[in-house]
Order: sequence, then C-alpha cells, then structure tokens
Amino acid sequence: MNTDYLKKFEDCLEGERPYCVTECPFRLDQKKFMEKAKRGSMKAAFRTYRDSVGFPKIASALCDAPCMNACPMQEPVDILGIEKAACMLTKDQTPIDYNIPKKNGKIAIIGGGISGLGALLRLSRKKYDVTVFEKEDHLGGNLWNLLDPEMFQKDLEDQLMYQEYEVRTNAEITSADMLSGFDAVYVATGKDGPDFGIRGAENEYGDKNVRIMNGIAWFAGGELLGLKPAYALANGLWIGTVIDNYLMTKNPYYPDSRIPSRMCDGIVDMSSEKPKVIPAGEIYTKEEAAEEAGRCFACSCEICVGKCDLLKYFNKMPLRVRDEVVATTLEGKTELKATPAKRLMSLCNQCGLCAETCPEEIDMDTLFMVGRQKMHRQGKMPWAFHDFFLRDMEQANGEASLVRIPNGFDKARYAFFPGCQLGASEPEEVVLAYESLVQQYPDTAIFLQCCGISASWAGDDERYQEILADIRKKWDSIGRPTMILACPTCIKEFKEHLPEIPVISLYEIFAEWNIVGNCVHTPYAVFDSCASRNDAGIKKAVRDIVSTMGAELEELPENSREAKCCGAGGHGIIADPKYAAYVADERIKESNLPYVTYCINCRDTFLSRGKDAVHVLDLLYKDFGEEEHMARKERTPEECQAGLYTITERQQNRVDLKKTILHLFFDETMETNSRRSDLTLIISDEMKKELSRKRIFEDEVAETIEFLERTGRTVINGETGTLTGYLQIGHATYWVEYRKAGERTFEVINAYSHRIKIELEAVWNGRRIEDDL
Amino acid sequence: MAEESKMICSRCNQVLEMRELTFSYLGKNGTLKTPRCPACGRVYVSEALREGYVQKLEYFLEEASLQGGRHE
Repeated sequence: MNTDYLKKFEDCLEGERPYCVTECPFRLDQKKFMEKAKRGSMKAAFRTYRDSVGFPKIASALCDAPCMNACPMQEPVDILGIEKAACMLTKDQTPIDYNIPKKNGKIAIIGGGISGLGALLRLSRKKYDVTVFEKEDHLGGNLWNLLDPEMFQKDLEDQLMYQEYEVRTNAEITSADMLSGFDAVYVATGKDGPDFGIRGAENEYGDKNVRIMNGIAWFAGGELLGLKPAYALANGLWIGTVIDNYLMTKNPYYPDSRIPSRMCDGIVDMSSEKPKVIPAGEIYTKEEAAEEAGRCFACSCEICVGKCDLLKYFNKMPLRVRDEVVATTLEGKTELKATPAKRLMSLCNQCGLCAETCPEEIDMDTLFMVGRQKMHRQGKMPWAFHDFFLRDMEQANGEASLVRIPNGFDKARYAFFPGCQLGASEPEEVVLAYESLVQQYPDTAIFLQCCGISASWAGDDERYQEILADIRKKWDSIGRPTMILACPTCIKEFKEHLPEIPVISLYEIFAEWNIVGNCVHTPYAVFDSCASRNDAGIKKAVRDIVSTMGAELEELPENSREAKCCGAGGHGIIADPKYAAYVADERIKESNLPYVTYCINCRDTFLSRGKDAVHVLDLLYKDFGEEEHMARKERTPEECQAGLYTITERQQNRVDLKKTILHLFFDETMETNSRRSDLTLIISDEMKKELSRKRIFEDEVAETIEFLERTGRTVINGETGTLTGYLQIGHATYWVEYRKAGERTFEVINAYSHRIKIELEAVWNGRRIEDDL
Repeated sequence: MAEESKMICSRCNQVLEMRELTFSYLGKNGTLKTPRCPACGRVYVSEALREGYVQKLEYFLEEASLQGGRHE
C-alpha cells in the first residue's frame, strides 16, 4: 500500500519553533516566556529566561534582540523590554541548588570571559570537575569594557553561588601540553586570543572548531571566533551541552546550536495585531509587560486546526491524530491494544480541505480513509456506524435502480445520473430535469443508481470497487455516453475513480440553456458543496441560474472561499450525531439568509437543523410564489423540518421515481411489491417522523409485529394493555410497542432499536424454554 | 415505581422482575439488569433503558480498548 500520506506527516510544522526562537542565540522558548509574562507571573518568566541565558542581567544588557527583527508583526513585541522588566521586577534571583552527584570528567576552560563563564556555569551545574584558566588576575574578560562591573559581578556571583569549581588567575596557557590530564578543553580566549590550532579545524562529521589532540577534545568558541558578546555567552552555554555529550558518548559533535525554522509567511494570521505598549517609565511595569506580552501571537502552525471542524471540535493536533489512527489500525486483538481513534476516524467529513490548506500538504483525509479501510478489513469497524447507509445504498442500487436508453435509440449520447439522494428527496424534480434533458437531447439515457460513496466511506473498498465496475459496465452497455450528474459528490467520485467516463454537471447544462424557472425576488446565499470547492464551472453555473431568476445573491464569507462540509460528508452522523450537528451549525452561523444548495444532502442537512434552504432545482421547478419566498425568511425550524420525507418515504420515493420514469418515458408499467409484509400499520405522522429520526424503517416495524403475532413473544403493559416485543433483523434488535386494531391491522405506539444482541434468552434457570430462539 | 412491575409476560402471566440478561456486541459479551419473566425468562428492554444505559454501553463497546468482558 502507498504510504506516502504517512511520510508527509514527518514534515508537519506542529511544534515548529517560531521565528523569534530560531533567531535567538540562547534558543529561549519565547512562547513559554511570553505566556508567563502575559499572566503577570514575572518571577516565573524570569526563571524561564534565566534557564536559557545563564546570566540574566548580563544577557539582557548585552543582547541586541535579533528575535525582535525576526518577529513578523508590524510592530514587533518588545521582547527585550519584557526580559529586562522580568530581571528588574524579580527580587530573588538566586538559582535553585540541585543535589546532583558528581560526574567523572575533568574540563579545562581557557579564558574567564563571558563565553568561558557560560561554559563554566553549565558544566559546573552538571557537577563536572571544571577549572578556569584566566591570564589576568580577575574574571570577566571583555565584560569590563562593556558593562557596569558591579552589575555583572553580582550576576556572576548569584548564578554561580552554589557551584564548585576552580579558578586559576594569572595562569596563562601557552601550550596545549600544559593541559594533559584533562578530558576536554574549551578555548575561549577572546578576540585575537591564541587558538591552539582549534579555530577552523574540522572533525570527521564536518563540525568546525573542534579537534582531538592527545586524547583530549578541544573546542573553540566565543569572541575568539568573532562572535558578538551575547553570542559568545550563548556559545559558552552551548559548549556545556556539547562537552557533556562528548564525555558521555566520546563523539566530539559540535553542531550549530541554532536550527532554522520552517515557518513561512502566511502561516499565522496577524490581522488582529494590537498597538505596542509604551512604558510610562524607563522600563515596563508588571502590568505593562503583561499587556505587551499579550500582543504576542505565540506563532505556531495551526492552519489545519483552524480549518478542520474535526480537529477543532476534538482539540487535537495532527501528529497526535496520526499516532492514534496508526495505533488503532495496527493488526491485533483489541483486548491487547488501545484503539483510541476508532470513532474519531469515522467522523472525518472527507472534504479534503486539510491537504489543500496545509503548507506541507498533509492529507488527513487519506489517513482517516485508509484507517477506515484497515478497520473494515480487520472487522474492527463497528457495523452500526455505516449499516444504515449501506442498506440504503443497496436499496438504491437494487429495486430502485434503472438504466435505460430511450426507445428508438441503440446508444445514448448522454445519460442523466441524478444520484441516489436527489431521487429520494425530490423525485418529481428528477423527472422534470430528465424531461428537460430528453427534450434537448432525445438520446439521453436514465441512470438511477448510487455512485458507491457509502461503501467507500464505510471503508469497504471491495464493495466500492464492485459498484464502480458495475457503473463502468452499464455505461459501456449504453454506448459510453457523457454522464450528466446532479450531485457534487458523484462528480468528485466519477472524476477521481472513473476517469474514463466524461461527466458534466446538470447545472452547467441548465446555465448554458438559459433555462428560466420561476421568478425569485428574495435574497439567498449560495452554499457551495465541499465536493465542488475547486469546481469553478459548477459554482458559476449555479449562481448564473439563480441570478437569472432574479434572486439577489449574497456570498457567504467563508464558504464561498473555502467550501466546507455541511456535516453529511463521510457518513459520521451515526458514530457521533453531536459532532455532525456541530458541523452543520457552524455552516448555518455564516448567514441568516436562506441557503441555495446544489447538493441535496446539504439542503436536507440544513432543513433538519431548522435552517431554511432550497436546492437550486427547487427554485427552478417548485412554484413557491412571491409570498412564500418572502415568508421563507421567517420560517420556523419546525416548518423547515416539516417538508422532509421520512427514511421509509425516501425509499418509496426512489421506487416511485423508477415507476414514473418507466411509465412516462418508456410506456411501461412496473409491478411494485417492495413491502415485506402485508400488515396494515396505523402510525401517526409524529411517530413516522420519530421512526425516521431513529432510522427505523416502517417495514422493520411490520416485520417485528408479524413475528410477535406469530410467536406470541410479547410482554403486556398491565396499565395500557399494549404489547411489546422484539425481533433481531440483520445486526440490530427492533422493539415495537403496539396494539391490535383489526385482523391484520395494528396501531404502532412506539418503536426503538439497539445494537447489542440479546443472548441466551431461551435458557432460563438451566432449562431450555423455547426452541424457536 | 419501577417500570417492570406493570409489565406482564404474555405467556406465563407473571409480573416481570429485574434479572440479569446476557448480551453480546462487537465480539464482546456482558450482562445487564433488565425486567424478565421469573418463570420463563422473557425479556423486556424499555426505551428508557435503551436511551440510557444500553446506549452508553454501546458507545463504550464501540470504543472498547483494553477493557472487555463483563459490564454491569
């Protein structure tokens, strides 16, 4: 299997250092520092600062703040000002004394200037045996020319107060031989100082300024290498890590301490930048520093989290998601391993926005899709997540499917493929659209079938490929026509998985014909389908059709730029209905205007959430009338939901559509006998909606009652006299509460289903009670 | 007032009592308490139980990781 999508995750910018940190010689974790300063905890901010810079007062006085040049804000955050404030406002600057055992390793530092002292601080804190050789009679080197001696001496004293080390003043090292007996040497002799042949030397790994001489590792750094004082201090601190590594591994690595950032322009949105805080006095007060730190955007790449509903809702970053998905889909018994992402990966809407907007093109959709396929193959996908959609698809591809060439033709130039959902939601519109097409192109075939997306989303790639092959075969058998598609998801799937089949959207054809429907006088907002995000042709066509009818169109601020899913994509609604509702509501928030959609799933999703929406074909074919258009703005959620068919009606609609098309266009009468039972059920409209909400077909209710009547396997409610019992159909168990109203007529009081299976009911007190269980 | 006390087994004509019921889901088994006929064991799962405990159980088993076996 192609695992390129997994490799891509290695390029993820999650946790990438922000611009300021990569420029900082001390690699100060600015995000941590700013976060502490922002909440006014200057002492904690000071500690973070000191841990990075070693000598906080010296560092803040020497540093020329390259971080602020790197800050991409219009007015960079005054990082240095906040650092200085942290130093001034923290009274107790003494370090923490850790009780660490002594380490083996003798280190000589040549030069007691700022770089050598940096190395001394780090190495003595690690409890090595450190000796500083200083040719003068005092430590500090170039610092005496740069800073107030009282200030820097106090800082040195404070930070080194708990450390043990040896300083030899008036001890000039003139030859390398003088240091035999040491394990490592740091040459920090300052500008124009002796370099003992180390400067410019290169080791076998290509690292510069390092050499092994007589079994001793020599490293050079600081102002000797031409570094500015602040960088010299940082170099000394870094040597602490380098020598520590050398003494533990015996590998004299001396890499550059700075790592370039892969962050690039545009990753962080800085449009909400606040004006810079100017201190009232010489330095920031605690409050001023906190406010200034609050301007920091804490740069990090979170583009996907901003774009993807799933990551935002579950507050997860991509690398963690990857790890969870990989762990979940590893082969092995679930009893023995964790499966943390089972539900998560079933919720992805498969809209593809992640890969399109990620600077590294990381494709979470494929990660989730492959994850679903793996779960399916291992039998780990909970059947309930997709069972309903798969059964619905089989109905669309079974009794409701129809592929025909108009009479009098032996092959078709065009074929109308409305998709399985439009025929279920608006069968009459499919008939009218087909009629329009046949009038223009009399050799347009009808192709009623599902594109197979339900199998694909369920991770059942085998079934999906079967359906694709079936479509290909049928297409071939009717003369390889251009397929006219009405569903954006079908279009996307055809283009991707059936590239040999030429496709065009129904809307582009209608727009070209200048088809005129009803007059629309009210404003609408076009809601683009996520599957058509990059399909400029279809987007324009729909707008043209609606504008031609006279509607004022308003563009949705987000959706028109980057179309996102309405919540129906990926079929995650059963795995987590709350998440699907969240996604729909996020889209609904964009505008109070009713939406015009060109995907029937989008329309039905919005209507079911109580948001008014019409399909573009509704505007063309339904004569709303001016009053109704005006009234639409004030439709209540209940009114919006009222127009939706139940799942039973939807399946019936598909069969009726087939029947109507056969009758109108082929002069054939179709015998329909799709009902599985001959019982007559009395179900209130309210209960019908309720059953639909619970995804229970009325046929299943009938089948259950039939079984219960035949076997008498019911319990009686002593108060109401109603009967209740269950039947397992397929995977699920259906319970029905009913009352007999006639010979073969029953009133349905309630019905519900569950996924757990009742076991061993027939065995009671160790005896087998009934044989039919 | 417990719901089971008004439910009567249509075969044995006995009032249901809370008893244990074995179930399976996604390859795991467990038991839960539900009204059953004390004589023949006929089961009743009310919608309230289905919306409450049973749904939680299903949700849990769908995510099941290290845990398995009995859930009470």
